[in-house]
Order: sequence, then C-alpha cells, then structure tokens
Amino acid sequence: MRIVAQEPVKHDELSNASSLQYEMTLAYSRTLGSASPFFEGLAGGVLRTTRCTRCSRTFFPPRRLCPDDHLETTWYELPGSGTVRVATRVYGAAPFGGFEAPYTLGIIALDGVDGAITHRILGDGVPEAGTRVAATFIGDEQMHPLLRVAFEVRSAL
Amino acid sequence: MTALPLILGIGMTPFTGHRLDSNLTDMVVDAAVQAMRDAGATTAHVDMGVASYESDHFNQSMSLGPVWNEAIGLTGKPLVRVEGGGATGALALQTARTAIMAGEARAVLVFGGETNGRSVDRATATEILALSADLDWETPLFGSFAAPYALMMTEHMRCYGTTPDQFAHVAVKNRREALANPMAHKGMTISVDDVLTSKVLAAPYRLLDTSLLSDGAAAVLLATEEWAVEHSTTYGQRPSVEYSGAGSATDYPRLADRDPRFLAHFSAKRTAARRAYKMAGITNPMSEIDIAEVYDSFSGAEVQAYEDLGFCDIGSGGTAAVDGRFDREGSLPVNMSGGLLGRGSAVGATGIAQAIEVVGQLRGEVGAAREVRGARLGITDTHSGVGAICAVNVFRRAA
Ligand SMILES: [Zn+2]
Repeated sequence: MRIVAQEPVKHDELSNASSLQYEMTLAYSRTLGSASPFFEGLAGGVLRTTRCTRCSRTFFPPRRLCPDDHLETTWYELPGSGTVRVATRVYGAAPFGGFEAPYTLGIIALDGVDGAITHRILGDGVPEAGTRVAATFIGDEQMHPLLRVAFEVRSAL
Repeated sequence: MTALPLILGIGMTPFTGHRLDSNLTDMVVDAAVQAMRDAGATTAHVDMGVASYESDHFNQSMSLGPVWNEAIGLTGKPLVRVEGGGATGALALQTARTAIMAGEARAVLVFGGETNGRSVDRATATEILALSADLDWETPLFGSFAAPYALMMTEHMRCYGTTPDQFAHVAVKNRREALANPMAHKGMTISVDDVLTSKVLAAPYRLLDTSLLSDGAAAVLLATEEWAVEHSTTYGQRPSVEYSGAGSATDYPRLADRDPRFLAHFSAKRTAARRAYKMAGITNPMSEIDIAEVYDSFSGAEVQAYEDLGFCDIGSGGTAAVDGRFDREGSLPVNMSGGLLGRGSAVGATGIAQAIEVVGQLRGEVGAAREVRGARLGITDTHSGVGAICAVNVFRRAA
C-alpha cells in the first residue's frame, strides 16, 4: 500500500477536508480446493462431477461430501449436453476477460446430474427455455479455468 | 406496557455520490448522535452497540465497529458487527431486536454506513461487487450483478408476460419520490421512454433500471418501553413506534442451484415475509400494510418483491406497478424515500435508512411533500445477492 497523491479538497464553504489517494495491489493465491478435478477436467475437454457412493445422489457443482451421508463422493464423467432453463444477453464485460461483450448467458440443466450451471452460450442469439445445448471446449487462452468450456446450441437432434 | 422494542431514535446523513467533507466514521457518528438526540437520551444508558457494514474493500479497513463505538461513547459495552450483503442493515436491526427480546439488553444502538460512492473508481467498484457472486462458479461469467438479476427478470417476463415498460414505471416513480427527500442521492424527473432508451446492461435491464452507489450512514436506537420511560426525554411526546416483527430466510446463492419452478421469484423473501408477518400478527399484507420500503436494487426487483411480499397476486406485479397502487396516492405506497433507485444505497446504512423512512412516516414527521397520511403499519424489505439472504422488518405506530 502506498500513498500516491495528497491534496486538500475544498468541498464547500463549510469544509476544508483533505483527501489521500492510496494505491493497493492485492495478489491472491486461491486454491480451487476439492473442486480442482472439475477444473482440470475442463482443460482436458471433459465435464465431470461427483456422486455419493452410498445413496447415489449426484451433485453439481461437485461436492466432496454427500450432505446426507457425510461420505466422500466419487467422480464421474458427464455427457456435456443440457437444456436451457433461461438465457439473456449481457452487455457488460466479464471481470476476468477471456471473451468479449455482448455475450449470451444462460442457466443450463446438465444431463446426467441433478444440477445446473450458469454459463456462456456461443453465438449472437438468445435461446429459449428448452433449447438443447452441448459443451464445447476452448483453447488455453482463457483467464479463468471455468471459461475453458462454453455451450453451443444443438441445431437438430 | 408493550413487550416489544420501541424505535426511540432515528438519524441519518444524506446519501450522496461522494462525500468529500466527511469520512465514514464522521458520517456514522453524525447519524448516531442524531439518533440519540432524537431519543433525548445519552449513550451512557445504552447497553450494546451493533455495527452495520458490508465491505472491507470499499471502506479500506477491517473492524470499523470498535472505531465507531469509541467515537460515540460506547466503549466498554458489548459490540457486534453484522454483515449480510444488501440485507446488512436490516439484519443489524434484527440482531438488536433479538438482544432486547432475549432480555440481554434494554437499549441497543444500531449504527452503520458505507462508502459505496466514489471511494474507488467505477471499474474497481464493479469488480468488488462482482465478488458477491461465487468467485469460482459465477463471477468469471458476470460482467456485473445486472446479469443474474436479468436472468430472473427474463424468466418473470416468460412466465407472466411482464414487460420492460411496466418495470420502467418503478424507475420513474422512485426517482420522482427522491426529489421530495432531502436525504436522497439523486431524484430525477424522467419518463418511461427515458428508461427504455437508456443503455442496455443485461437484457431486459438498462442503465436507468439500476440503483445508485452512495456514501452515507444511518443509526437507530431501540429500547424497551421501561427504558424509554426512564431515559428518553422525547418518549411520549409523539407517536410511539413498535418494532413488531422481524423475519429472515436464505436461498441458494447461485441461481443455477435454485428450484427452476421459482426462478422468477425471491423464494426466501416470501419465507422472510411470512415469518415477519406472523410475528407481527399480519394476516392480509395487501390490506393491512400502509407503507413499505422495498429493495429496488433493480426496477424489476421491486416488481418481484410486490409479489413475494404478498402485496399483489403472483405474476401481477407488472400490471400492479402501472396501475398506481404503489404510488403516493395508491393503497400501498412503496419507496416514498426514493428507494435504492433514487435515495441511493450505502449498503451498511440502507436497511437502517429504510426503517428510518418508515418510522418517520408512522410518526408523521417526514413533511407534507412525501407524507403518506394515516400510515400505521409499515415494513422494510432487503436482500443480499439475488435474494440469498432476505430480511423483512415490521413497524407499527403504537398509539
Ligand atoms: Zn449420500
């Protein structure tokens, strides 16, 4: 943290307060924790999540422990297909970059698991609820591992 | 004597875009001193403090509670900081209420504020606020909080045929009401057309559908009636206001985890309202409640709140917004302070400022320009994120 400027600010007749300008850069080392295999899977073109070994409940996002049985879950692969619940067009830039605004954002119910993901749907359109989509994997230029997947509308099935 | 806590003192600073003559502690002290003066009481007789603020990032400090506590003469007393996103101020009031109801304290001062205005530049503010979403699973995809709110409203439009011009009415109404509130950040005279032609952020939301980031502080003194008789010189000189009910509830913070049947709604808001109404003995919110301050972080969120708070039938919020029932002359005026869209939002102060507006209205003290005549029962509504924590408070004029 350092002070980069210091100036008295004449706000109005009643006040003669001063302000300081601070500059503070924060570098975090952030582990992805027990969800790491999911993000590693995206780098390898695989969408995976976890299921409970006792009750077979499935989870997305992946959970390390089944909340009912408190047992370690096991990883399995998802087919990568899904169904749009709702989607919209977003014009603000994403904070980590990696793609340009505007973009289409949707909540997608994933096949093979009782869960959904909020993610990007490629193209200029806004698919309606019920539209079938499939995961597509993107090269290594992305800023955040979550962005190595996106979804494409499946034209015909 | 009532067993319920009374609101004995209220105080707040104006909400502004960037307060240059005062820092956050100055503002919180101003609000707290006003609240004590309003009560005609001294902090020596207060049993406990509750500090209310959301973000260490905006305020560039951690543990501000003891600093404020010290500056208003409460050092030595118990103090707790409350944080619950957008619901922070409302939850701080609930914490104080619980302490009094439990008999642990007879008088509690709640004080809070935030420098959401221009303490950091707008891009940094957006980056900090985006941290309110799940950093591993959502934030990389959200340009701003407009995105998840927009997904919810898109679903509301699909389910019920709600239209952007309907929720634009809320953006117009709240900015208009802010013109009559000297504490407001930015009142404006705008038209539905102005809203509908402003820049799109995330469809269907546009720039004028979004609320303000403000600097500001607010404080409320709560106490038992017994304490009021002993220590509050203003008690009995004006209508007394009871803190009749408090309810809170939580939802899955990530939209994708929620029951898809209720994506258009703040489900936890319904639960929080039900709890608060039950505590306050409200059976028909639509006919019993006279005035409400509602969490209009986005114009459409107010429309959704009408439904989830039981002010109109599910799915009818859009048409209700247009028919005028929530305007000043309507049956249930909403956000006569100007709301987050017009009065603005300094997060740690917002829920407290809502209570101050309602209490002021119930006392008949807000002035003719925005008074809702004869109001006896009012509520406040706030939430964090896109409804992850919801908190509803109920206030009633006792006499
Ligand atoms: Zn299990």
